[in-house]
Amino acid sequence: MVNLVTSDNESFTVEKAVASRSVLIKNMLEDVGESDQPIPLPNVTASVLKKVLEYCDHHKNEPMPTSEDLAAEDTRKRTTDIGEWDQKFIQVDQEMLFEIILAANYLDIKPLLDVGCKTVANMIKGKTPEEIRKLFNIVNDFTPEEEAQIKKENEWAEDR
Amino acid sequence: MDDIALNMLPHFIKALWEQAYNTHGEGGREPAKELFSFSTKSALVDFRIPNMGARSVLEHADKELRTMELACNFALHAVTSYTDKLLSATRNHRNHSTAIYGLPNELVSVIFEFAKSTASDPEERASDRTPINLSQVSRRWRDIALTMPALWTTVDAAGAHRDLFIERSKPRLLDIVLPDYVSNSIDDDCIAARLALEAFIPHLERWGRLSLKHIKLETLNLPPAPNLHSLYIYHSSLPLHSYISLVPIHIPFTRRPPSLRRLSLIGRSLPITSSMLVDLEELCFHKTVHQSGAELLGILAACPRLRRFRADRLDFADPFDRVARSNPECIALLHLNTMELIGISDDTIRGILSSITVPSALALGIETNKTLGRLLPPAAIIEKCLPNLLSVRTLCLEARMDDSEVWFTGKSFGDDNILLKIIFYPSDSLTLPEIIESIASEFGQHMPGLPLHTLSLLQIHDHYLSCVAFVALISNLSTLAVLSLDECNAPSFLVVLILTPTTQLCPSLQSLRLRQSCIHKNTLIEVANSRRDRLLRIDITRCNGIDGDLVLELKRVPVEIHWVQ
Repeated sequence: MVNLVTSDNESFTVEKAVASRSVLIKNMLEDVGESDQPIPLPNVTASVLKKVLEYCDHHKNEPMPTSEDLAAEDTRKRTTDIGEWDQKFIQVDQEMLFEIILAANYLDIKPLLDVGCKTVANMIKGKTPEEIRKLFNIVNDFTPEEEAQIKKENEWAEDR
Repeated sequence: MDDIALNMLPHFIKALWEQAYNTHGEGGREPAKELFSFSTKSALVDFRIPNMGARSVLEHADKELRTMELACNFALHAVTSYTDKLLSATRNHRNHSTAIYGLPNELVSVIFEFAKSTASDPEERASDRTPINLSQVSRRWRDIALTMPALWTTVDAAGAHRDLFIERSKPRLLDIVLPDYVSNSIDDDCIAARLALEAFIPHLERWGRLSLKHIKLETLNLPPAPNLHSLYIYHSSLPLHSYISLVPIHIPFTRRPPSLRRLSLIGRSLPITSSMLVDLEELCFHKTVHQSGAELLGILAACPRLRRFRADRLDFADPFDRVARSNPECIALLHLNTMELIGISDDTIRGILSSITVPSALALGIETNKTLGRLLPPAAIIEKCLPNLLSVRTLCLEARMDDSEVWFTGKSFGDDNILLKIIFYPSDSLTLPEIIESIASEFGQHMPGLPLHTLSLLQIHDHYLSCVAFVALISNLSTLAVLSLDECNAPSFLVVLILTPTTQLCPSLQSLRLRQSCIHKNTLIEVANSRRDRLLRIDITRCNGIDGDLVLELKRVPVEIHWVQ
């Protein structure tokens, strides 16, 4: 078993196979060897780690992606298909979604990072700039000069 | 604000005027230029019209008024420009408090890359506005989008943003999509296509993928594109008698044909006579019309490095089986890892599968409305042609009544690598229950001696699959260790699992998994008792009619029970 301590000082004791879905933790465990010392995770809060561990537990028996898999994926077209379980898992509010993405990036859990990024990408697809702003509560911060440049880009499209 | 308007602005404008007036008067320089170097720290000077003659006074006043006007305009411009920048910066600062701005640029880039269309249809890919939209959301997103060449590589050759995409995608390889030319004049279309491609000629070394639709290939006369790796040609489904007039695929590249890695042909198969296919890794035919099976097999034989082959709704002038029988030598496709045969005749599927030899890890996908026995090669040559089927250890038969489909899936042991996936759909002459019945009856005959470890039935009820056919399915599975019945209303299946001196089906069965299935209590106890030496575990999940008493009784057999109510 592995003991993980979050930024808000909460402890999680999990199976090694679950924790090792994180390449960061896996490498730490390999470096330290057998030890009862808790592993601090200063960039992850308890609520996010709970979610991340739920994902790791579900996928604990799957083979880890190899470096060849990752290289091959870069050259293949990147689809935004998400498995059924993963889709349900990632149905969270936006704040939690981005927290999960950040945690997956920090903990180096590539498949979870992909699920998070694909989910955001699917939210963006087919939306106009205004709809995207509304979705993520972003405001238009272009200066009039930049707006004019953008307008020009769009006019090219309309003129042709 | 009133204080600023009434007290500060007049002094500010006056000082601007004074600065401009003095400079203009003394050195004869342009007042506007001086205004841009104006400092608000300059002394504020009172404005007085000097005591001069009427004409000179008017000239002087007009000059002062012009300068004053200039100063006002500049002041207005300076204030507007400053407040615009201030507003933009404030809005940008505000955006940094949103949740999505918490993601670093490299993760936003990953999201952008996923958001870009990867549709296999080139027109769909090329009409995707995502890159443009992403670059027009906010300053930060624009900065990220404009520094991501990969986002801009798919270019609609006749699209409004063509030049923008070509520029922003530098130095990446381009995915060039020509529009669907369907005017009345083929010659006009060819001229339009050539004109559209002209913009890409200065970037020949960046041609990566080229999609052509309804274009007379021989008119293109394309220059050498050294890095072109993928070609997508949509050709009309011309009548077969016009076959002779069709030109080979390499014809547009007369000067130096590229060495392709991916080729998709839609509508009409074109003669493939060029060495440009030697390095081909992906070959897709969609609704193509071929002269003969020999032609198709000849193409496969010309692609020794093929990794993926997809044939979707092919048509042939001659029946395929004749060709297959006349080709005793198998075509070795030793690198093939995926083969999809969709909506094509059983003769053709059988002809292809009987004429090739593939690696043992091949994922074979078939969609058909014919029975299993009409698709697979004869059992005698299956080991030679499709060794992947012999690696199947986990088999799943699933009825998807809502989709009117039956899925027959085979995987290797210990991982999720699919080796076989056949999707059956009904036809006028074959209903779904008949398909299920035929799969079960023909399985042993066409895939004999398979050392299967796990068999799963999903939503297979005994009114779809008769008990006789179920027995036929499991009768030769001497190695079967796990049997799973998931959402099966089929109590009779358990009855045949009771071992008797005369019936010894699945003698190696160690684990029985029952989920949301209809079970008769006594039958289950009889199965457990008759297999008490070998059956180690029974998983029961949400099955009606199962209670604590039954579980206790089963535990006394003894057998390990995992029960979820």
